[in-house]
Amino acid sequence: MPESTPKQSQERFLQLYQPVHESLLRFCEAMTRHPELAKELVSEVVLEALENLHKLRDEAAFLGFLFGIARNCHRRKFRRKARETDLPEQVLHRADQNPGPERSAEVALLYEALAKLPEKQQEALLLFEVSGFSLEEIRKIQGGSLSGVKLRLKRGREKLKKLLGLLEPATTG
Amino acid sequence: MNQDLNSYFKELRSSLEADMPFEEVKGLVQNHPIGKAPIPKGKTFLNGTMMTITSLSVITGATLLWLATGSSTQPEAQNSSISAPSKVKVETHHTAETPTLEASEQPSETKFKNLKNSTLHQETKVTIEDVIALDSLPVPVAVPTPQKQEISSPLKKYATQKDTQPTGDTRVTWGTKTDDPPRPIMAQTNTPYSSSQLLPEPQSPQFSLREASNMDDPDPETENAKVFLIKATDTKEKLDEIQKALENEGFKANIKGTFRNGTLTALKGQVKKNKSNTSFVVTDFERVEITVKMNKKGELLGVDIASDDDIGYLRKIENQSYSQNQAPAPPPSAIPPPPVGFSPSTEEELRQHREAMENEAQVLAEEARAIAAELRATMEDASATAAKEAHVLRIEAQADALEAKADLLEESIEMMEAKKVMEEERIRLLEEEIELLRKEVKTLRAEKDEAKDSATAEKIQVQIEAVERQIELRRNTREEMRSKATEQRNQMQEKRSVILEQTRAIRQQARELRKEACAAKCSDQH
Repeated sequence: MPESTPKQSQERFLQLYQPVHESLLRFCEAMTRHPELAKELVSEVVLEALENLHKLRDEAAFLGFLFGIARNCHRRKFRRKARETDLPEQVLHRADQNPGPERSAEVALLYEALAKLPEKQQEALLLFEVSGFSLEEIRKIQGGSLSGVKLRLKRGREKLKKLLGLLEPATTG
Repeated sequence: MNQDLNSYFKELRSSLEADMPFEEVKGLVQNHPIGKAPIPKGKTFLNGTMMTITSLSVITGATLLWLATGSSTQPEAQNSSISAPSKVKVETHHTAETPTLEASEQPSETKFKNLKNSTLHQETKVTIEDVIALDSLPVPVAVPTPQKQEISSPLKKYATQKDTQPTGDTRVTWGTKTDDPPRPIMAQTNTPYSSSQLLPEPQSPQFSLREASNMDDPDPETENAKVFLIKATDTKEKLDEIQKALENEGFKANIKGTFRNGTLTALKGQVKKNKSNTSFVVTDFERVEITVKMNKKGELLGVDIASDDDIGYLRKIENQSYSQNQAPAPPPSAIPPPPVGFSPSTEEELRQHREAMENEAQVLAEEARAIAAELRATMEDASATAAKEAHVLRIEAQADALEAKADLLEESIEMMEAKKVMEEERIRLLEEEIELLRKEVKTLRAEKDEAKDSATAEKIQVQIEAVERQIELRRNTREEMRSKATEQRNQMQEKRSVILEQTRAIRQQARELRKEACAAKCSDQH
C-alpha cells in the first residue's frame, strides 16, 4: 500500500467498509446476541481496523482483515461480557415483548445450539445464514479452501439439527 | 429437515434488531484522532538546547541549519522565563531576479524549500540523509564586510541568518516590489520558541541582517522608518488610527485584526505604495512592532515586524550598533575565518581553507543527524501519546455508552413503576369489584333463605355460584397481576445493577487512563 495521509486512509477505509457494514453489524449481533453489545463490538472493530489499516497490503483481503478483527475482538472482550450479562435471559426477556413468543423461543434455542458448535463452524454458519456472504467470501474471511467452507457448513448444520432435536430417530432393522 | 433449520435461521435473522446506520460509523472514523494527528507539544532538547514545540511552531530549513550550526548553549537560558510562542509570517513580493531558496535546484534544498512553511509534524518528511546532503551544497566562503551584504547562495543566507536573531523561524524578505535593483533588506523573525530559551546571547560586536540593512545604507536620509507598536490589548480603533497614519504618509494600508474575547489574537495587513507591496500576518503575540521603512523619497522599502521578545532584543542590538558604530564582525562559529594573509591565488591556502570547510561540514552533518534523531524521538513520543489518548477516548465512549444504557434501564424502571401503580390501581378496582360481588352473594343468600319455593331457591343458588366464579376469576387475575409486576421489577433492577456496576468499572478504568495520559503529558512538559 502506498503511504497515505491519515485523512486519505480514513476515506479509503470508509470506501472499503461501507459495503460490508450491514453484514458486519448482523454478524456482530449474532455473535454478541444483544443489539447494544453488537454496536459496541462494531465500534471496536471499526476503530481497530482503522488503526491497523496500514498493515493491510492487499485490499482484496479486507474482508478477512475486518472479520478477523471482529472475531478476535469478540473473543477478547465480548464473550466474557456476554456471559456476565446473562444474555440468553435477555433474549428471552425481549422475546416476551415480541408478538410471537414461540418464534423467540426458537431463536433462543438456536443461539444455545450455536454456542455448542466449534467456533469455525459457528462462524461459518453465521456468516452464511445471517450476514449473507457467499461461500467464496466466507473462504476469504476464514481462509482455507472452498470445500473446507462447504464441509464446515455441512457439519455445522448436522450438529445443529442434532442439538435442536430435528433429526428423525434412527430407524432400526 | 433442512427446511426446519432454515426456519430457525429465518427467525434468527428477523430477531436481529441492532440499528446502527453507516453514518454513525462514518462519524466514528472521521472523529478518530488518527485523522487529527496532533503536532507534538511540550519541550524537548535539541542539540543540548531546550526548545518549546507548540502547535504553532514552524521549523524551516534555515532554522534546522541554525540549530545544527548554532551554539548549543545559551548563557541566559537558565534564568530566562518561558514566554508565549509567537508566529510571524511576512511575505514581501518582489519582481527582481534575486537569488532565492526557491530558485535553487539542489535536491536537498528543494526539500527544505518544501519544509519552509511546514509545521513540525510535516517535518518528518525530511530525512537524516536530506540533512546530511546539505554537505554537498556549496560551502559558504563569503565573509561579511561592513559594506553591502550580497547574499548570493542559500547557504550564505543561512550562515548570515544564524547570526541574526534566529528565534525559530527566520525568514528573509528579499526586498519590496520596486523598480530599484534588488537587494536583501532585512530578516523577518519568527519566534516559535522563546528567544530567551533558544538563542545564544549575541556576542559583541554582533552582526545581524537588521544591522546589515542599516549598514547597507549608511546615509540616514535614505531610510526613514515609521514605527507602530500594537499590543494584544489594543482595540480596533487603534488599528484604524495606524491605518490612517499610514494613509497620511501616502501609503495604501489595510490592517485588520482578529479579536477574540476582546483580545487581539491575529494581525493581518498590507502596505502599498506605487509598485511596492508588502503584506504580513502575525499571530499569537503580546506586542507587535511594525516598522514601515521608506527611503528619503518616501518610497516603501519594506515592513519590519517584531513581536514579543524580539522587540527588546532587536532594540538591544540596534543600540549596540549605533553606540559602537563599528563594522560588524563575522560570526565566530558559522564560517571559519579565512587564514591570515589569505590569497585565493595560493593553492596551499585554498586547500587548507577547503579542509577547514570540510571539517566544519562534517560537524554540521553530525549535529544535523543528532537533530533528526531528536525530532524522530519527539514524533514517536507524540504518536505514543496520541495512541494513548485515542485509547482513553475509546474507553470514555464505552463508559458513556454504558451509562446511557444504565439511564435507559432506569427510565424503564420508572416506567415499570408507573405501570405498577396502574396495576395496583387495577387491583384495587378488582378488589372493590370483588367486595361488591361478595355483598351481592350475601344478598342473594339472604334472598335464597327467604325463598318460598325450592325452584326460586335453586335459581338464586345458580346466581350465587356464578357470582362466586366471577369473584374467583378476579382474585386470580389480581394475583397474576401482582406477581408479574413484582417479577418484572426484580428483573429490571437486577439488570440495572449489573449495568451500573459495569459502568462504574469502566469509568474507573477511564479515570485511571486519563490520569496516566495526564502524567505522560506532564512528564513530557517537564
